[in-house]
Amino acid sequence: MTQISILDAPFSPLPLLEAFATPRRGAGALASFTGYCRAKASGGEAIAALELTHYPGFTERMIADFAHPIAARCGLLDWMIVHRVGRVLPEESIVLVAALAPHRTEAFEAVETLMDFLKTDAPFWKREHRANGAHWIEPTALDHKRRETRT
Amino acid sequence: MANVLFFGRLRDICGPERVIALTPGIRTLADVKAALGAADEAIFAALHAPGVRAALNQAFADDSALIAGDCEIAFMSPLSGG
Repeated sequence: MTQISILDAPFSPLPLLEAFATPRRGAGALASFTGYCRAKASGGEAIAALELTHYPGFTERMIADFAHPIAARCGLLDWMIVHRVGRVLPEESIVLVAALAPHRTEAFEAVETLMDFLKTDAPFWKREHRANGAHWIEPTALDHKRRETRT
Repeated sequence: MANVLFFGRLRDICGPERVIALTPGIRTLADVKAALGAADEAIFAALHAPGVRAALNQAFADDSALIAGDCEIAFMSPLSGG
């Protein structure tokens, strides 16, 4: 079972995590990752907002198609994938991935593998709004390298 | 008719969406790219830029994918979530 949510409004990760892990369903481990909108770009300029778009329907299906084999391989009991779209302000959460598993190794591996996928292969597009204009953000060479090591 | 969607950097050049008539000369996704770029070099270059991916009826597809009747096509700049 996988819970995939694409949200166009701010969300709080901690209440979602608590609700997701209740009841525990026999899990011995909950691993999660939360990504926030940074206040500064890699070059040091202030970020006014991040604009995220997705391809409705296609994005959810692509995430599910990638997530299901990982869940099976890692023996997950359940997982939750939440991703923001729309205008995201600094300090707001962009993404939350959480995995419930019998043991920590599988939970960590599932979360890291899915995050590497989201960075390079999930249908989302990001644009940073800074004082000097809007800039599209595309995967870095490191993002691609990390993704390749997981296929 | 084909409803063509554009995502990411491509939107700055092509806009979010276009509808094109499927004339007899348009049989593949490569033909759709050529038709869209025929009157505008910037659009042609953007659609052929490295890393641009396409989907036909919400499934990834390459340039040789055959168009059969009304459909939804998406051209996507490099993806970046998380």
